[in-house]
Amino acid sequence: MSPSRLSAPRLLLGATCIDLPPRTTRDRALEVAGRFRESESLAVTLVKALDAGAEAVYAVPSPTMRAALAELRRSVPVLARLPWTPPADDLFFEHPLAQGGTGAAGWGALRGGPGAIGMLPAALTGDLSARVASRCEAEARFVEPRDLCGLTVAAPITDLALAAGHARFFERILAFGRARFGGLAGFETANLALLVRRLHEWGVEPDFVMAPVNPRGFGMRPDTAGVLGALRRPGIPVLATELRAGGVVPLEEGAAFAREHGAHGLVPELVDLDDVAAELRQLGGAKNAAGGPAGL
Amino acid sequence: MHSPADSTAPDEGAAIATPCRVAVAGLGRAGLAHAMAAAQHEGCAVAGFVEPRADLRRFARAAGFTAPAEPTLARLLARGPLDALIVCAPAEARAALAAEGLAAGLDVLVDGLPAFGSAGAAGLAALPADVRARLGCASPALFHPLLRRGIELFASGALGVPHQVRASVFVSRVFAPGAPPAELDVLDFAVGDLLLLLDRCLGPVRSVTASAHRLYGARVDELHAMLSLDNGAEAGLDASWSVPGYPRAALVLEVEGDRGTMIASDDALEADLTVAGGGFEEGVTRLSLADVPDPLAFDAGDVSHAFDAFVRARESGERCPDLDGERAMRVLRTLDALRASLAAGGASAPVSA
Repeated sequence: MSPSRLSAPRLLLGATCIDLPPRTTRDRALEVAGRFRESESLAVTLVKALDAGAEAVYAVPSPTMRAALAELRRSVPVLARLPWTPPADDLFFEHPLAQGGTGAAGWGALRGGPGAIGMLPAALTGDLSARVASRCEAEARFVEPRDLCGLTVAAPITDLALAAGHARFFERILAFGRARFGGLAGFETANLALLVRRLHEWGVEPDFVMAPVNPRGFGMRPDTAGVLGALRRPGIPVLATELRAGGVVPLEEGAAFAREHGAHGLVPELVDLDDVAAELRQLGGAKNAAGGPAGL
Repeated sequence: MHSPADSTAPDEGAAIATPCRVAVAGLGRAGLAHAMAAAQHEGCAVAGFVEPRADLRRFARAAGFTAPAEPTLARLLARGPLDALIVCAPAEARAALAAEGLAAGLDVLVDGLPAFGSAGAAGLAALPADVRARLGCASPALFHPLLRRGIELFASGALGVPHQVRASVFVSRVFAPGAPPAELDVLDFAVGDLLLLLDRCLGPVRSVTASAHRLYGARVDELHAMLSLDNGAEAGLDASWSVPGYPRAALVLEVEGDRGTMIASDDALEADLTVAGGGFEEGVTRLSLADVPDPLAFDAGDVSHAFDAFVRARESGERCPDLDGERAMRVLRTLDALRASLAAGGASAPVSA
């Protein structure tokens, strides 16, 4: 990774579980959704998390998150998960990116500047990267530009391009994301081992990738050994999600496992935390004790 | 950093010499998910796409898929041989595409049910039984690791004779931005999967009574039904897509037998047995998703397991009971009966043979 580039975060608060189906028990998911139904509750929690050592909030541009951010007068660094892929997309036949973001109109949807200019050839051919960039541009307005600290391409989109072997997508969206989203750009995936292998083959170096890592192998594709192998490969920092394996592993155990096997950073979700401030402080303390420099 | 190649062939490194040449018909969300699964499956090669809409064909290419795409199956077949067709078209077009694929000698997998009701699948029903035997229909419910484990437990006989069965599906969709398409209701959207699960566990339905709530307009938002099964058991069924807090459909199957009870869902599997059996100890056992094996070479979403089972069944030459096309046809007739009962004010409606 270029020394001038920002480094990937070590500790994020994951807040995507309020709007995306969380991998936890239904009772727990309903409990957490109920707890943050009021935007004030979520806003207070975000602030507590930042004060406790989280470097940013990992969030989607949902109405819930927009409302919470609007409550706050202070800066809340956000690593945005884009494009927004709401579960209700399954009501419709078309893929949500099949429309829009193409041709000159798609390019025009991008704000000016280097990020847009670099995307011009892709926009004129209707390439996936231009469609994604145009959606990201529009959806990122849920955050004050000064608070955006990076872009994470949502797993369904990453894995679409990965499955199709679309190397240029990764290169183009990284350049765009770095130029437009505060400097950091990476990919969320459900297929970590394959993604890391392909990125190395293609010579593409994101600032981070994000995927499940936990002692139970839950959500780790294709298997635990493959994911641990990807964690050992130098060059691409991995931010670990699903630390509690759907709620069956204590957070400390999941975090220790991820760090022990080479995860660069941790992304505990709200469903993983009972006392957000205390548990994040504990994870942050463990991070500092391990000697890892703070990112961002 | 060196410049990446334009693309890497998705099936590069495929492990077997004669991969199954798969075509995907319908390039919506489900079609692309199947294309992803096929592209990364060691036993497959993506041989083409069928999609009448030019914008969706362009989108598949934009996403990086390089296989040929044609507006009709006939035109794709003219370009080269295929082994299997995955039908992911809109519901009103699925049955015709599946029938065309079967008639062309292909093995066919339909994503979901082949239609909204048996009338829409009349062309399939008219095919000879040996041709229809090559039809598979995929429901994620039958491949969910916990629900599969529940199916196995029930099939083991460890629960004894079932005397009470309840099944439910809850999902939050009527609140969605943009609202569901006007032609859908909760039966179309969610009940089919539940009926497939019930049929897989307990066998065919003989007759139904049903009542509905229409909360947000003319269409059915909530359904309550009683199903009389061929095996003599009765099953209660509840379905709603207007319950808040369920971003993903929550399917639950509860069975009380004379030797134990089971609550199987996509959240957990709980068994309480008076005698050990089916791989479960006597007493209460609770499994969560992280407790059951869930191997998968590439995760393309909900379709992944069913697609993998389809390819493996082709390779082995053995039928996969979880993909049984005849079950899907029975479920269409059960949906017809539910609608008939609703139209008759809740009167009992037989499921046609």
